Amino acid sequence: MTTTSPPATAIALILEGLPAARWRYIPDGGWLEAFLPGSEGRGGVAEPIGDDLEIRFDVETARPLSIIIPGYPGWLAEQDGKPPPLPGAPVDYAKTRKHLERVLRAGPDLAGR
Amino acid sequence: MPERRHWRWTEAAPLGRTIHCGEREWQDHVLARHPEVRRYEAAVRATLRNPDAIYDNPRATANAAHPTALVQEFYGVGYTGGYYAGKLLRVIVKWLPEGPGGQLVGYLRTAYLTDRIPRWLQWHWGRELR
Repeated sequence: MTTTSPPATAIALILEGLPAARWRYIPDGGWLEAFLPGSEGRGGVAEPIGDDLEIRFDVETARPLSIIIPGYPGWLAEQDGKPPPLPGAPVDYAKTRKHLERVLRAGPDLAGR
Repeated sequence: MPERRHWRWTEAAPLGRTIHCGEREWQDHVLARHPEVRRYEAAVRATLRNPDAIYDNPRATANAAHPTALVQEFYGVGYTGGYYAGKLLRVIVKWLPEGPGGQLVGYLRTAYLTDRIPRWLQWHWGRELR
């Protein structure tokens, strides 16, 4: 299996929804997920994009429900270019959102699907 | 430090290990975030008892709050139907060494459905599903 790219419309919807996203963090393992507006109660399936992120798509409408960063502290360290935050440190959601927006705008290859 | 509280359920995983699912984790980490898993609780438990594959998650392990924690992902195949037909059931487990012998005890952290297995996960047990 190989990773594929999300459609440009999915990226646009994520970028549009991120400012009002509901963030949930599981500190054990550093599991961060940003739930987009309107996602509550909706059933979805996650799909990896690139190496570091996953998008959970609505199984009925194919709209993105959430974006997942497994291993969040390591991902943040890569984005920041400095060591990861200490365990237990609060998540800087505003900075995380900016990093996510930059990553999503820069690619992955949007022509893949 | 072992987690001591009420478990929603406990399953016997491969290699004689035990995995606990807390009520809080089931309600808050699974159902509130991934409501599609509600109908697959029995499948989650079956996946922990008899996984099709287990992958090590080195990134999550490296970032776990507990220095000796190990994070693995259990995958179940063939449990889903309808809209979810053909999807993989993905169950995240944190292991902690506990007791005098350092026996690993698992704690469910979250579960959801996925299309594919990330490339960076390291195959550990069972069938290689990628």
